[in-house]
Amino acid sequence: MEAFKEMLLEELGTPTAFTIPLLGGVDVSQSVVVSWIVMAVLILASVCLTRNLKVENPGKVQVGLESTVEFLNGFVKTNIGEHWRPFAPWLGTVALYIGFANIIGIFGFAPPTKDVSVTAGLAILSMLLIYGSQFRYNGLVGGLKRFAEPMPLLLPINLMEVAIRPLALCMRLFGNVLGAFIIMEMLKFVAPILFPAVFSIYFDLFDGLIQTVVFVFLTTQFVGEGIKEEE
Amino acid sequence: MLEFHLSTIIFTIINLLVLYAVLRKVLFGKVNAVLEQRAQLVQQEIDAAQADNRQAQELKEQYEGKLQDAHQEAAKIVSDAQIRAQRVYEGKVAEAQSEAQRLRGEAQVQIATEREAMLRSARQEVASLALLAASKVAGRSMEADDDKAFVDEFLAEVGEQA
Repeated sequence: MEAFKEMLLEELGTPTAFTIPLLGGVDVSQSVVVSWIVMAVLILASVCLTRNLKVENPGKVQVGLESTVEFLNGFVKTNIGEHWRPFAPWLGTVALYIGFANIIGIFGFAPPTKDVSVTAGLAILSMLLIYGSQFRYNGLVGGLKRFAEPMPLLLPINLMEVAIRPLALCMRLFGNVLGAFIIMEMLKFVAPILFPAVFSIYFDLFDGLIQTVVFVFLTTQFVGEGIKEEE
Repeated sequence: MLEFHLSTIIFTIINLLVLYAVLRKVLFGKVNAVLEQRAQLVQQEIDAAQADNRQAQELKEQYEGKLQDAHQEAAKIVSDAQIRAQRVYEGKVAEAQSEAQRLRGEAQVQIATEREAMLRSARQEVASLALLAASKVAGRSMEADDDKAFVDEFLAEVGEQA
């Protein structure tokens, strides 16, 4: 039991993969390295899948790709409104990254999203996106006025949300992936063969995808709240 | 477990921005371009089809107008021809009638002349027969001119009475 505890604690840590000897040594953690793998896979897959796209008579792969992108576009359009165009690729990128990072546990890597620093980075970017677009599309005054909506009474809560929203995004993703990771490690310790595979479908695949959807959906929702015109 | 590493946070942000830059070009940009091109293509096809339709409609109207003109022209030609034919027919009929009238007149004249001639010859014949008969009765020849005149007078009297 003690050995298991030791092992689990070690697994839960965020080990440094290597250190770049620059500026007094920059630590590159394992999650960053796995992120690079995820990125490489995504970029390679994109390059392969988008080779010879055809306007007429698209192949099956292209049709699937197109409907996915169209679904993303439609989703972003409904939630953000008329200025949806620049947001769709970013939200798609985040969804692909988180999605692959979450389910990479299936291939034996530790998911980068179990590192709270990674999810914090994602949440900071979401926060910058949410409030950046609020000021970008409403102007300085209009952006500030948005904090007093739907009524001025909610001003303190809206201001608190600037910190709460990214914190919640960060912790939700981190907690879920970490929880799933711990349960999977325990299952692997208790019954190493076959048994974990069944649970892996739920904890790695299903929960991973659900958390991806939640993160992206909330980010989109918040951006929409910041810039959508009231009908 | 809950340690925030600044380097990891910064790396994550850079990673995401790089991934965004690449995927926007390689994945979303390409797919969206294709989607847009297809939408444009469809729009073009629709526009072209509508233009064709409009043109066809115009042509149809033109042709219908022309057809109507042609119909009118044909009707005019036919009626002209009918009028002309009528005129010609009437002319021919009138000509034929006058010709017939003339022929009839000529025939009547001829008949009258012939009848006259026949009557005259018959009368002469009768006169000569009467003279022959009278000469037989009288026992002498009545060849003299005054005899003949006598018979003629007689016959004229008879003709008037008859």
